[in-house]
Amino acid sequence: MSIVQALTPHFHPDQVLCAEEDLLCYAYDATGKSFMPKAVVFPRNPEDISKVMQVANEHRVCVVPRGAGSGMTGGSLPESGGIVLVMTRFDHIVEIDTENLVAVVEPGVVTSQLHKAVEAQGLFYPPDPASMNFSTIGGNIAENSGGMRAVKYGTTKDYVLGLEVVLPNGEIIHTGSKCLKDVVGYNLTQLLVGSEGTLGIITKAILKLLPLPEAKKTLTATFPSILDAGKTVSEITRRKIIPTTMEFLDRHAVWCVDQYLQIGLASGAGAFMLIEVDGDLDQVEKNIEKVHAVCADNNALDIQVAETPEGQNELWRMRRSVSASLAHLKPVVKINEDIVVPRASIPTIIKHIEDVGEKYRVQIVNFGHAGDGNIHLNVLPQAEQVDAAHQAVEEVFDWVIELGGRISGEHGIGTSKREYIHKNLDTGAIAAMQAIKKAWDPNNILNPGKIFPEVLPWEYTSSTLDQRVNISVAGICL
Amino acid sequence: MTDKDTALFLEQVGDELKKCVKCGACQSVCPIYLETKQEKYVARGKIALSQAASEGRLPYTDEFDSALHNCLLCLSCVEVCSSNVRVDKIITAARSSLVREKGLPWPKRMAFQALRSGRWAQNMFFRSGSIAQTMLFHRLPKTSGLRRRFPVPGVDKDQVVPRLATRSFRSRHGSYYPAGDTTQTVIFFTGCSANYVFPRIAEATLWTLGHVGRSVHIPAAQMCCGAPAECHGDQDTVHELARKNLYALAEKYPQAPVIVVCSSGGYMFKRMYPGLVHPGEENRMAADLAARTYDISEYLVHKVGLDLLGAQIINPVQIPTTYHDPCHLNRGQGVHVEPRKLLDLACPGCSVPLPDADRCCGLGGTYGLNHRDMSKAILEHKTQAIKESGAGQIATGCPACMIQLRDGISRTGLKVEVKHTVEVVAEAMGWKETNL
Repeated sequence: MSIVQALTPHFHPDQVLCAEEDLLCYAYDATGKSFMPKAVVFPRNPEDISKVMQVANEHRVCVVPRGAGSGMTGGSLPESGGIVLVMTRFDHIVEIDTENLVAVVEPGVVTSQLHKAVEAQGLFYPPDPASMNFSTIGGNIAENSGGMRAVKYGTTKDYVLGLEVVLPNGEIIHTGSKCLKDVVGYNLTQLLVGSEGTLGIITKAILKLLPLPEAKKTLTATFPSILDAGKTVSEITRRKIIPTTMEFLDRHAVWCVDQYLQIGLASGAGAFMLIEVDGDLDQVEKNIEKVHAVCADNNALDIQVAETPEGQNELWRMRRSVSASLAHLKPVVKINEDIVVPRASIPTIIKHIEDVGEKYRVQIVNFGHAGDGNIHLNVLPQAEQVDAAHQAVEEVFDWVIELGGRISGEHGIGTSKREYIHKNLDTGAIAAMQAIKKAWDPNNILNPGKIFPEVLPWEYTSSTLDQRVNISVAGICL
Repeated sequence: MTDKDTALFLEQVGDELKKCVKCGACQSVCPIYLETKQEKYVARGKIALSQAASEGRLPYTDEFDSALHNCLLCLSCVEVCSSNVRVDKIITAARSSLVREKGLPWPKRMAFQALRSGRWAQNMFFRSGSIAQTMLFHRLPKTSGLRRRFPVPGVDKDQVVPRLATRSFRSRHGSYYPAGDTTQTVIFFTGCSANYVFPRIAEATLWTLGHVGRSVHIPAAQMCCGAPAECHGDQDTVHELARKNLYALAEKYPQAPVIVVCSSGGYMFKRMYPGLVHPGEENRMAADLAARTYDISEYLVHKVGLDLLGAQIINPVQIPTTYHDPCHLNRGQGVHVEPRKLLDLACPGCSVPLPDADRCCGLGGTYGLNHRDMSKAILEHKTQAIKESGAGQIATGCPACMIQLRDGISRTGLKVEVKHTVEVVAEAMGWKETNL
C-alpha cells in the first residue's frame, strides 16, 4: 500500500495532496534545493498530526514539518522523500492576554501578523527575523530565529514560555506554562526551541510579550573603515547603551549597494552602520545624542538621524537593498553563511575574512548584525571558483572558532551545515543530542538527517570525505 | 513543452527563472496565496512549476494550466522580490507557450479577433454586447450598473456588471479639439473601457484637458492596448495591436504627450511595448511612445501644475473621498503620489486614507470572470477597507477596478460612489455632465 493510500482514509480529500504539481511545490525551501516528497498533508488539528505520525511509524515513512518554507539551511526540505506536513492552516492567534503579557498562538501565524496584532494593543513581540513578513512562528521557534533587535531583546528562545507539541510517536504533550517562573521537570520547552523539527511538531505556543516602547530613533553613519565601525560598537557598549539594532555593511557591501541604488555615498566610505535606539522618549533622545557623538569621535564621514517612520524607512533602504544588490552581480551561486563571533571580535574576523577571500581569489561580501556579532558572509564565486569558495568558507569557520564564535547564529544547521557541527560541539555533546533524538523518535521518522551528519566526523574515511554534500546555499538573507 | 517551445520560453524568461532564490517573500503579498495558503498559487510555486516544465520534468497538465491562470498579474510579488524577478513576464510567457501548444479556447479567440480587426469590428463587438445586455440584465436605479434577469454564464445573481454605452465615446467625437493654445497639443488614448463602458471618464478627461488650455487630438486609428491578449498569452494579437498603436499615436503629432486614463493601457505603453517589438524602427517608436505616455494624473500634476489646477477648483468636493491604487498604475507605473495630490486639491480637508490602498481589488482584467469565488474573496478585503475608511466616495485610476469596486460596494450595501480620479477633479473644476 502506498503512503497516500494509507493516509487518505483518515483525512478529507483537500488535506492530502499527491499530484505532481503539488509535490513539486513542496519540494524546496529557501536553500533553493529540491527533493520530491511522496505526499503533502495539511493537518487541521493536533489529532490530525497524531494520525499522520501513527501512519508514518507504521509504514516507516518520514515526516517533514513545514511552515513558510523560508528556512536558509534546509530544515523543511523533504530530503528523504516522505510526507511534508504543511502547518499554514494553523494560523489563529488564540489569545492576547494583556494582564499576563502573553500571547497564545498557533504555529502557522506569520511573525509580522503577530507583531501587528500585539502592537495594536500597545504590546511588543521583539523577535524580527528578516523573513518576518512571511515566516511563521512555528518555523521561528523550530529554528530559534534571531533578527535585528536581538542586540537588546534577544532571540525567539527568550520569548517562548510553553508549547503544545505532537511527539514523533503521535502523543500530544504540553510543556511550560503562562507562568514566568516554572521549574517543574526538565525544561522541554527550551529543548524544543531550535530543534529544527526533529523532536516534535509544534501545534501551539505561549509567547512572552513586552510593553511597546514609546519611541524609536534611527541613525546611519558611514566610516572610512570597518575598524572605525567596530570601535564605534565597542564604545557604545562601553558607555552602557544597548541599542535595539546595530547593523553594518562592510566596504564590499557598501560598494554593491551604492552601485545598485546610485546613492553616491561619500567617497572613501569603507563601512556603513545603522543604529536604532528605542525606549522612553527622553531616554531615546539622550541615547541617540550619545551614539551620534561616539560615531563622530570615531571618524564617521556622514551621520543622519531620522525619527519619522518615513525618514527611518529611507535610512533603512541601504541596509534592505544589500541582497538585491548582490544578486545584481550575478554570481553562479551565492554561498550565504551566518557566522557569529563575540561582538568585540567583528573587526578581527572581518580582517581574517578579507585575507581568506584574497587567498582563494573569491569575492566575499559581509554585512549583518554588528551589535550581536552575527555576520552574513556572502561568498560570490564565478563559475570556475566554486570549489575555492567552499574551501574559503571552511577556513573562515576555523577562524570563527578560534575567536570563540559559532558556525550559525540564527539560520540553524539543517542540511547545509551538518558536516561542520563537530567544529563547535564536542563528541560527547553530539552523542548526547543523538541519544535524545533516539529516545524521542526511535524509528527516526521525524525530519531525519537534519542537524547531524549521516557519518560523524570521527568515522570519516577518505572516500566518505569525497562524497560529502556541498554546502552551497543559494539563499538570501536581508 | 516541445523543444522549440522550451527554447523560446527559456529565451524569453530563462534569466528571470534563474533569479528566483525561493526565499518565499512573495507569500507575504500574493492575494491568491493569502486566501488559499497553497504553494502552487504563489509566485515561487509557479516559478518552480515553470522550471520543471521547461526542464521536461512536468508535462502541460490541466493542474499546471490552472495554477498558471490563477494569477492576477497584480505585480505585488514583483514589488516585494529582493531579487527583482519579473514574475509577470514568466507567467505571461508560460501562458503563451500554453497557447502555442493547446490553442486558445474559442470565445477568447473570437474576442481577440474582434479587438485586432479594427474599429468597425470592435464597434460591432461592443455594440452587440450592449444590445445583449439590455435583454439579459435589468438596470439598477441611480447607478450605471446592471443585474442579470436570467441566468447568464459567469455572472452571479447579485453581481453588478457595468452597462455598455449604446454609443461609444469615440463615435460621438471628432478627432481634434483645439484650445486657446494650439502649440500644446496632447493625444488622448481612450482605451476600450473609457470608450465603450465608462464614456463619462473620457468626457471628463477631454473637458479637463481643454479647460487647462490643451488642444486634444483623438486618433481614430487607435486600437485596444493589447493588455487582455497579453495576459491570456496571445502574443500574436499583442504584437499586431502594439504595432498599430505605435503608428496611430505617432501619425499626426509625433512629439505630443499621450494621455491615458486606464492603468493597463499606460502600463502596456510604458513597460511592455518596448520589449515587444523587434529591434529597429518600431523599437525606437516604442521607446519614444513609452517616454511620452502619461497617466492623466501624472500629466495634470507634472505638466499642468498644482498651482494652476488649484486656481480652477470652484466646486470643491465636500464628501469624504478616498483612493484605491490600481495595481498597474501603482506598481506597474510607479504612479501613486499624483492621484492623491489631485484628490487633496479637489477635496480639501476631506480626502481620507484607505487601509491597504495598494492591495489588489481582485478583478485582474478577466481573472474575475473565470475565478469568480476567489475574486470575490479578495474583493471582500477591499470593501471592508472602504467601510473602515468612512469614505462616501472612492476614486481610482482604472476603469476595470471601478467595475470591481462597484460590485463589492453594492454587494455589501455600502453607500459609496465610485469614480475615476479625473471625474472627481473635473467636477471640482466645475464640469457638468452633459447628455451622454
